[in-house]
Amino acid sequence: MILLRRGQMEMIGLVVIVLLVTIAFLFLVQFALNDRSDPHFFARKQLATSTLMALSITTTSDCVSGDGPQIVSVNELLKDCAVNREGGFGYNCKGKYSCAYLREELIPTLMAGSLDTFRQRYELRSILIQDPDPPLLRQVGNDGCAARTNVDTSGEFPLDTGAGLVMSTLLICD
Amino acid sequence: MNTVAPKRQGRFRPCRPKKGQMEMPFNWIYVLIAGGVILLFFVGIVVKQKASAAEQLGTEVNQILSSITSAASSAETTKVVIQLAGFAEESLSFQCSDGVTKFGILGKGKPAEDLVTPLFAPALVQSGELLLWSLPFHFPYKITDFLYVTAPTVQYVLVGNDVHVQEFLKEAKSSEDARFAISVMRVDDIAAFSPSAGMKSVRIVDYTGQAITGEVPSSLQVFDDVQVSAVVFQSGAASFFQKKGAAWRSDGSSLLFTLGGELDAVHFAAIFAQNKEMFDCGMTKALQRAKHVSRVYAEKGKALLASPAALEGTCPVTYSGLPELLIVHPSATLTCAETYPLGCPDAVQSAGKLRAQNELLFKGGCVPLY
Amino acid sequence: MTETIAVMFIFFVLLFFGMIFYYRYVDASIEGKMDENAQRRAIEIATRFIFLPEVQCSGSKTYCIDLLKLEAFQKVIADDQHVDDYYYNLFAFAKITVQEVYPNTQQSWVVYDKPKQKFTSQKSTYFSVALHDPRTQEYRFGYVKMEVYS
Repeated sequence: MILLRRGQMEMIGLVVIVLLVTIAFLFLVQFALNDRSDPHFFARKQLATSTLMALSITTTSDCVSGDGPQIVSVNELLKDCAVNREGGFGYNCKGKYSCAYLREELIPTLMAGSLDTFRQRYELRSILIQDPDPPLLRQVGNDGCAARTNVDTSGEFPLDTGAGLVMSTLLICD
Repeated sequence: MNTVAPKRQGRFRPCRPKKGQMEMPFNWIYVLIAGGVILLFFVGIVVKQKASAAEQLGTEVNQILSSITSAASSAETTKVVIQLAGFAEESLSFQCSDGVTKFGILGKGKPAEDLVTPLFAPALVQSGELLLWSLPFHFPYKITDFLYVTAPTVQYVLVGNDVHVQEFLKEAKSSEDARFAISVMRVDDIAAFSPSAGMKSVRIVDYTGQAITGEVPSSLQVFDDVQVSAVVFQSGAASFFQKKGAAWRSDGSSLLFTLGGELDAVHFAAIFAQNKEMFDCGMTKALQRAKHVSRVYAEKGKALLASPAALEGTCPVTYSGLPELLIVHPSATLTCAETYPLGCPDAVQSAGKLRAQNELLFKGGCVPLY
Repeated sequence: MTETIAVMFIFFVLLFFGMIFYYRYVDASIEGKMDENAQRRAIEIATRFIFLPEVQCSGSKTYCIDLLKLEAFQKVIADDQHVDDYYYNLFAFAKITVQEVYPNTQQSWVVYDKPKQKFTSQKSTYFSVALHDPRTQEYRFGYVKMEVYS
């Protein structure tokens, strides 16, 4: 008689275990189906777009041309860089031609005060479509975005120059 | 083998073990307790999920509606389509009074409030989609963006040949988003008009002054009173009408305090606002903002006048009219905002003068105010 | 009997741990959602500020702030409590700082500052901006730091 009752108890125990496993499975399913969208996506994208837009129109009074000292924007320096890659003509800014001045002085200064201060990983790149290698500008911050997840782009900013189309992009990542 | 226990006789009865008898009820109690706990657990989950779902719905609605006002502020001349998949059967209500716009799902929950964005919309919108359009309001510099809310189920009927008719027909669609399409048509004779299939409300925009006289067209008699409204533009004013049975009920008129021009935000505000109350309320909000923006420009103007740029070439002469306007216009705007609509004609006049002064600065190669 | 008690004991222990796990998960999920909402609000308010007609460059250039208007706006808000209360409807409890990065790193403007007395969280978001001086036609570079309290 006792043997028979043990069997009943074991069945009930089995049912309870099945129920517990079902509940655990439901949780797993809920967790798996949960939308785990990146909450910082919009902030990164806006930061990338705003940085590149603001940077493009930023002006400097460090440069002289044939007409004397000038206030020129980053876009104008980029155009000059595309046309006079090796220098020799165009703007002279603090003793450097536009490409060198952008790469070595202005862009690093702007980035140091903004994205580096915010401790963001980024990659800024400007290429001449007709001759993309080497890029006119390449600035990498905090190890850049190679092999990173959650990479957001500013989108492509085209600039029509005498040497062709210059495309600039800023990537910001986690 | 004889398994039957021998029958005992006498007063002595064997002591039968009661173990089996105790276990049976004990097992059932165990089952009841365990089952009860599991049931309670599930009930608890269901109740919590229900509460969470209701909260989520409310939050979703608020987020959608809050994005309505944010959309206006982020870019001008924006045309946005908002999908309301979950709320297609619900009615969104919009109202504005005492400088506060209230919008939400009709009869459900507390409506969201906005004290800043001038929003113009039908009183009730029932649709799976909302169409949002924003236009900048200039007075004479940009003050704020007006936000117009409508739906594909609201039909706009334009009567007349005004330049605004062509403008509205052109702007009713978006070149960037094919889903943005305001239902608008032009008719010569409102009596012969028949609403398109699927329309839930009709707004008549009359530029002739003759369409809203007499009875409501027979094709519109089938609609509820709240679903049919009209606005008549004449002599620089907008007159608002609401269907009441077979006749039109006048809601009053509002003067249009605007500098005119292309894509006149005030003009379109009168088209999209359900009634005079909503239009005046939105205008009041805009003028409150204009008060503060004008103070900012007054300070900017002073800084410009004190700068070396103001002393170059012929600029001293060109700037000569600015100091007075920098005092008059903010003051007139303040009066207009506080006493709307009474004190507003002066503000419109000073805005016009400031606009002319700014154009002079532009043409003269001097730094303009805006 | 002992067996039964043991089974029941283990069962209730399992159930107890299961409930703890579930409620912890729900709490963490809610906290995550609140955090996400706070971040979203910070971005929304920052976007509102950048496109404010009171500070935006003429011609509605995006991510461009007119320096003269910025200083005027700062002055108007500071001088008048009513104006400060009006802009509370736009910014709520927040601190808006504009920092110049180039050419003058020492320049910064605290345009709006309304901290919350007892805040549970603070979210910061950054946008780069060009700072236009209409007197000299220069475009400086800087950023807007938006600190939102909740």
